[in-house]
Amino acid sequence: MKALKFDETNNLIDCLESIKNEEEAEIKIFTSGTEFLRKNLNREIIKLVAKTHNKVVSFDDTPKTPAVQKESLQEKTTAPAENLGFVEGKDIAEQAKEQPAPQQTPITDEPKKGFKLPPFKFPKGKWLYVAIGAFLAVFLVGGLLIYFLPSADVVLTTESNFKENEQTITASKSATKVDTSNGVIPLKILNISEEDNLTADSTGTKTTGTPATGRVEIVNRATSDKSFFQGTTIISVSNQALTFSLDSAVSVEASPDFCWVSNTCKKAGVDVTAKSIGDQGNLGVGTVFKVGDASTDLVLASSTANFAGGTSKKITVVSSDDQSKAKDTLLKSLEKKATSDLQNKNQGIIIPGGGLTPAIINETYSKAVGEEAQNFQLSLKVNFTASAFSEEDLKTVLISPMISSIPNGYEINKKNSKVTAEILEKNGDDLKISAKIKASLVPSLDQKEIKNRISGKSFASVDSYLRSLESVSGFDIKISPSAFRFFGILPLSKNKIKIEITQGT
Amino acid sequence: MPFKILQKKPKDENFFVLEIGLERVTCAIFKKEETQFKLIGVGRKKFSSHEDIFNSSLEALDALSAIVPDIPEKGILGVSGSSLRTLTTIARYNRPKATKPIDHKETEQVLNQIIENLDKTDKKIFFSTISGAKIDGVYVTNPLGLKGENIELSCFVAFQDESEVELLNRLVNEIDMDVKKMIPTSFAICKLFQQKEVKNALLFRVGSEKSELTVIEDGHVADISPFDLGMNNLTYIQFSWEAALKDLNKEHAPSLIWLLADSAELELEKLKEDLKSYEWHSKLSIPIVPKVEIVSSIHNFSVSDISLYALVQEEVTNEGS
Repeated sequence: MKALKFDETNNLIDCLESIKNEEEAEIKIFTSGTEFLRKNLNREIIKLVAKTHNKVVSFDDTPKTPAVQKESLQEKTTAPAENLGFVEGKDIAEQAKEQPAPQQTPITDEPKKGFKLPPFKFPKGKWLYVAIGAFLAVFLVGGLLIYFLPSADVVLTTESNFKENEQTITASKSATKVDTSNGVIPLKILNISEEDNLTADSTGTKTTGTPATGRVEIVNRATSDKSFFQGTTIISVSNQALTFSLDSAVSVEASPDFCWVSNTCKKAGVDVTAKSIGDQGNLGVGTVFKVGDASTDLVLASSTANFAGGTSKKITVVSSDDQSKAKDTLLKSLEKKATSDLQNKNQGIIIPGGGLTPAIINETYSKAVGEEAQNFQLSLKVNFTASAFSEEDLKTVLISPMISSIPNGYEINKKNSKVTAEILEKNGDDLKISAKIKASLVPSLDQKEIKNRISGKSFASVDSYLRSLESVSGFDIKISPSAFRFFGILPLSKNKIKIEITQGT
Repeated sequence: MPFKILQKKPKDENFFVLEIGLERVTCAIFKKEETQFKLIGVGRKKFSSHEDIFNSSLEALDALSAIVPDIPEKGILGVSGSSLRTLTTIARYNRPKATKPIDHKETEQVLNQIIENLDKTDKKIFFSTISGAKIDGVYVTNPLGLKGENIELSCFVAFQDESEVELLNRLVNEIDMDVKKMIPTSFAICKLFQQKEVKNALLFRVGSEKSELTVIEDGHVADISPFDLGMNNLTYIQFSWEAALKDLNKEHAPSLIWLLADSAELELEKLKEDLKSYEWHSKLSIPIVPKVEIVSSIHNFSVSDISLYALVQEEVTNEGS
């Protein structure tokens, strides 16, 4: 057996490498004084690594001898004193009393004397000048503040107008740019793998149990021998639904004529087992059975003791329907995740309805069909191939034929327009798409003109001007800092007026 | 200011967190804002061995003092790694008065009885709690206030070597810290994940050279095991989860593994791949490959600060209870 010792400078990796490289199969490790060997999981890891290399490891937790401990303690206590610079027999406070070195003269030249302004004296009555200057300064600062500080956010609300267009377009892998005249947009093929687990409840039921067993005596009233094979069916005369089979072959000798009168009929005993499970097979002693095809006038069987052992119970099992439903649910959830992940990775794309094709890479069920379980887990890994295209491209193609029919004074707000798409058919590498757009129409307002007309104007005149604009159904003005509302006018600077156009609901 | 003397001094709402981590000490101050705590300063210092913890803590505190001069006295102490050992004991009993709600006194009595019977040679228990319960066959995370007859309480206990607990006592005395609670950091982190309602999972906190595995069974922490492997030595790392899960009841096989880096610099993708490609079925008889997720942030707290956030949540729970 090889003994291995480690100290505080060693770590778990040193220990594992030593075990790996050790030739002997049995290794004892002395744990005293090593921090890493105090952790239980480290010890378990050591044992597993040793086992992988066909070695057995044991740990010796005996502490170090006092002499060794004392020695190491001494080493530890003397070392810091040396490090701190103490010298035996000398007072270090008395050392190093050298005078500080004289300060060095600076090596740069002294600064040269600079330019001086000529002396200035206020003329007589200086306070008057000061008062005028202060007034002008206040006036100037006030003017600058009024011009530059206030700002206005003007939100103009316009009536919501929409125009719809539905068109069949082609998304083509070979297209590199949008072709509005032929309705063609470039098609991208994207791939993504998704995986997840799902726990589902089992709903299937199954009856399990054991068949009843017992022993019968077969009575032969015929004057010829009778033989019955193993597996021959016997049926209860009183309840023909209860059938049993012979556990072994049996032969019964021929009986004398009218044996039932003299009670000399030949008999033979044989074990039987019910053909179906359940306690209904636990029949009482004396039950009479028909044996195979033989007539009950000539041959019959009767139980010699109570039958026993027949049991049945209903259990919950995983059904194929359960597995199929769980798969559908998980697949739908993975489809949603794949769509969302693809759209996050590729901003501004649209995956049309029917544009996501799943290919299952791994499908594992924790319980098989028919297995008893209250619930089961499904693990699914699916590779999705998506046919996608740019939302911007789609909007461009759909908006193009609408431009000529837009009412005067309106323009399309592309950002607020909504598009939907669905695959109609596949033609080789191309897709025929049914696409719809609900285009948002906004009035084409000249913002520069509006700013010119409202800057520096009173609230009343701005109100009447904005009301006069036909396409504007409402407006909201915010002045900041709000204290400037006191002046009752909009900012004098056009650059401090911001106009935003929103659509009413 | 004639009435200054009558003015009430505002209550100090700051809270201190000291975390002895896997490879570094972190101290932080949180400010209470309504029902939430906001992180206002952090000081960190790495340590290489157990002996360094004392000095590293003082240096981390110095770094924090440079940002926030007033260090609050009250705080929570989180511990990881070193000689940390945990044990979950299931206490089963029948209640004679099944209609009476389970109260704090009852759970405390059970916990005390469990603790009394544990072997505490050279070890000190610093944290114990009822981590989960089963009442008349139904799993609950907190049995308080519930009624039932057949009770199973999962009593979670955490120990450290006596010498290490003494060192921590010396440290908190030195820095004048009023420790309101001392708790294994991984336990606090797992409580954050409990909101995800995963029954069986594994929290894998990974450092450069030291890591910690926490086994979650039936929604509660069952075991925390520190070990000395990390991202710098992945060759043997598979043996860590093999060792941690070898005696696991297969009903409690983890369905999810959370990978949490001990510092923001660590990239865990390689370890994630190792876990995903590991032969769970043939090596540990686990039929379904667990899902592996790298934790990137929780409630806007970055990877480096998740443990601090988890610890300060303990204060929120204390206040709430």
